[in-house]
Amino acid sequence: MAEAKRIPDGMQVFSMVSGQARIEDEADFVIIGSGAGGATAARVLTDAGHSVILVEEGPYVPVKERGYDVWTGFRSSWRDCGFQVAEGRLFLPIIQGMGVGGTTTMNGAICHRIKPELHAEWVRDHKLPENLSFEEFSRIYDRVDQELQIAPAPEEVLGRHNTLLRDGLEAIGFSHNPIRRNVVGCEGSSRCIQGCPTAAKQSMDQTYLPFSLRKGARLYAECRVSKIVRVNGRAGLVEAQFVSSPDRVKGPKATFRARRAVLLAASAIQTPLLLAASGIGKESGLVGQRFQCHPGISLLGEFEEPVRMWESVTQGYESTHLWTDRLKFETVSIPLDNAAARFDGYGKKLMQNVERVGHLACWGVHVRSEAHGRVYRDFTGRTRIKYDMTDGDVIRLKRGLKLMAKMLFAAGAKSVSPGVHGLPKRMEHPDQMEALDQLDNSPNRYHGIASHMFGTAVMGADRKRSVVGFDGQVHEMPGLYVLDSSAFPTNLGVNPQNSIIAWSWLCSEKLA
Amino acid sequence: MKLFSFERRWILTVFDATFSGGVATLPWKASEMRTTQAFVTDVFRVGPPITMLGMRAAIWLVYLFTPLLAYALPVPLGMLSEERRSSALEKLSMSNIYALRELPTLFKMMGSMAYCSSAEVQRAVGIERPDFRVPNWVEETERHG
Repeated sequence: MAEAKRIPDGMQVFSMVSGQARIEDEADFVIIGSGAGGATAARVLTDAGHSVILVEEGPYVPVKERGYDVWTGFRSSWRDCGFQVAEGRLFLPIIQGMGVGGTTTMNGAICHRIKPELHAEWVRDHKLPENLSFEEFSRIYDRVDQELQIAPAPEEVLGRHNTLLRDGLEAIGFSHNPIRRNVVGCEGSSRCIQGCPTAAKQSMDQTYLPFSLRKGARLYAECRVSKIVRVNGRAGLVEAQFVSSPDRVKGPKATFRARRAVLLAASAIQTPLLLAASGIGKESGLVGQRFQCHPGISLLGEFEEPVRMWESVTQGYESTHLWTDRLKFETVSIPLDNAAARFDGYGKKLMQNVERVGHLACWGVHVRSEAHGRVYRDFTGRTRIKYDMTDGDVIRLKRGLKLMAKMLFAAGAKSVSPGVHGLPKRMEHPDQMEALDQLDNSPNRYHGIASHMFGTAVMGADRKRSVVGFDGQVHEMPGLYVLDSSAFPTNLGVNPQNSIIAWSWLCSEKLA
Repeated sequence: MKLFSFERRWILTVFDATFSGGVATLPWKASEMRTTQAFVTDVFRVGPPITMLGMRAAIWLVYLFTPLLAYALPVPLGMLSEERRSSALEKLSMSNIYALRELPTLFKMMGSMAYCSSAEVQRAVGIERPDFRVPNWVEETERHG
């Protein structure tokens, strides 16, 4: 069992249990999911002296096994090996991590707080109570800032890629800032999406999970939960099966008993699927509904000067100047083996672009979309995500793209590649982007991605109009709590990692 | 999922057409790269079965029908000259039908992960990393096939 030696104490993975007939375990709390929500709950509850079991569908990937290439990251740490898509008029790739630490291991380490204006909207429209006040959220954000060492990206690792965005934003008069990130000693190697190669990112696998394991938590990785079962009227049993990653070999079945509660933090896609599989959702009809995300589109700008995206923080600079207009701008340094798919042309034309990669900048705009989708399993058992941007969302994206082209040219780009069907492949003046207004609002003219999922098990006081209460407890199953962004009433317009942590922390504190 | 050897040849032909000529300073075609060959095996082995089934159908569509759709020529892609293969893919990528224009994009995305992940290609375009190493999946695939 040489492989087992590098697995941290307290963790069990497929290769360690594959010969066994059945795994059974029991603790005060069983937590499903080890990302921002689940790991935070484990951190709070183990600190309070409770016994905790974490069950994680994805694998454990030690830092030294993280590769420099994108496919190594996709196949080990991304859900569906990076092939997960939302279906609508546009097939929209949905970015989501799957592994010990969840999406925190492969995101850009961007840390935002909920905007006060949005929190006020939640209080007004969704009747958020005092125990979820902005001050309460802020209390947790302050603490997490310290524990995860969150700070603005320092100048020395921004690289030209990020400072060019600063130049562009400054030139068009937008407010801007280096991104606040949870890293220690980041070297700016631009490999966040493959998993940090130096463990600089303070993702859950480097922070709250080791903390919880040291406090006695037990973590079962490569273990897929199928159902949450009632015991004496409360959530008391979790049924699961070990499945190896990435080859999907089935291993022993497992049963985890929860003496106090089952905490579900499997993401806004997997959480509603598990709720539905456990017979929940009949009262409100809202499980898996109201799915929201942040669709995003990038522009490539070519500069005379070297940009060398790979010598910078993956995402180091941003502007939330138009947050109230539902737009956010940021740098996205994509590795060549991912970026080339976005370059124009085929054959020699494509290769010319590949050879110019050192002079390219890639900036993204994401929209706090209004659209709602839904998540469900079809008759074959396959996960389906139905989602379509509204006309309003597309109109906002067009505005964002036009502004971003202005920024790129203002920063010195000699050309911009919009990657929009119906526009020229290459533009040499920002006014050329005005042609966007002549195009219809069909989303499939664009190549985008979506990240940050919300709303599929929404919180509220009324059990007919919500799935969980303001303490995270599922209305239809006492003892079962939802501690991820499924419970959020709307999308945030900013990266949700820290708000998921704060929500999970606030709910877990009450359980501790 | 395992591809038939002719399907494997077809996908490598599409990759070669996508990255035709390769990086100027390198003598190899995409299909001759170690990472590309291993990637084709690995992605169909570990990728989601339903997606890979779709990808398999896409190989047939792109290889057999791109010349027909692009130039009204009823021949497979491999029958065109190298230069025409690339321009046929480019033409398909400009189709007004979303499903059609996404087909070559799909292979560009896959091919990028294979061809552009190699240390040789990255070095040739100026990306120097001290810790370049052959990815684990390349060695695994070569060991187990």
